[in-house]
Amino acid sequence: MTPSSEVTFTKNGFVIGIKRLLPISLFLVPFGIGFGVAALEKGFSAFEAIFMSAAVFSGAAQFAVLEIWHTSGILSIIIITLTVSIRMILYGTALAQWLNQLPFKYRFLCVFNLSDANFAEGFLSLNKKNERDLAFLFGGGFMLWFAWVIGTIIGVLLGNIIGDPSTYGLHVLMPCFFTALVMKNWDRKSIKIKVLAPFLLAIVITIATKGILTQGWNMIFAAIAAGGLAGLLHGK
Amino acid sequence: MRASGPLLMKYVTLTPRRETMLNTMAIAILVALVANTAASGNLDVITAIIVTFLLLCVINNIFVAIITSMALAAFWPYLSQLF
Repeated sequence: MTPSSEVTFTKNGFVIGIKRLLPISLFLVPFGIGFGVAALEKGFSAFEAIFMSAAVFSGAAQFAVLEIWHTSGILSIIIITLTVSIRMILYGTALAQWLNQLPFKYRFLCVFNLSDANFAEGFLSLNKKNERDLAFLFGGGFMLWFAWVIGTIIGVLLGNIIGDPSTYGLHVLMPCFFTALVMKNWDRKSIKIKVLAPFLLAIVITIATKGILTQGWNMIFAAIAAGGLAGLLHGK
Repeated sequence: MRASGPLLMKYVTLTPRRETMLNTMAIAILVALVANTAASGNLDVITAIIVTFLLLCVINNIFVAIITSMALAAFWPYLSQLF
């Protein structure tokens, strides 16, 4: 592969993206339902919950906002949302050599719904399979987004019926979801102290400063400190 | 945020060290959210987090791990009466 490899953006690529991401999208629906129910429980209106899913389209960021909604100020909510989503910058940089060959409107469509699943599939297709139709990024992202929004709609409809979410264990969905995301990003084959140390530092700072700093800021400082330590330990 | 990656690559070189820092911060904020919840959470929440962690170590299936933990939390009032 060379960066100059010609890329395209076709309807066929869009349909291929939808077909490839359809199975994974089905798994998103239950999490969307969980978000819809949890959002109502936290005081969001049905419209606000659905609009948030449609506009933000990030399970981690949306659940994070719910977690701190009542206890944090707007600035810490914005910073936490951006920090949770910071990996999107990395995804974009990894795809940049292909995306930057497209006109702006197509580039925007490709990254608008970029997420973990369609990045993984898209990067593999571009890098290993040598496919060059970038519309599959848009198609796959659209499929995932659609499933997430449909799940949220079902969730807010159910939320008005089911009553107390803790009866169904929904109150633990957020921390368990975050635990799962952390585990997904953890390469368990290489358990090294320089990899684990920043996260242990994040845990210590979060808990130690919980009663001292305003809720939300303890987590922001923990993440910044962890990033700084990771940079120091990285070497070069 | 999603659009910033391709834009960034026109002006900034992403060194391995910078990439590691960004990656670590993104995961560390999730770790912090879990730690924060666990620190103020009830025993059922802490147990659910531990069960999710252990199940993911063993079966590596996010959906099963979370559903099992939610079921555990749902039955917690009955389980806590047993022990």
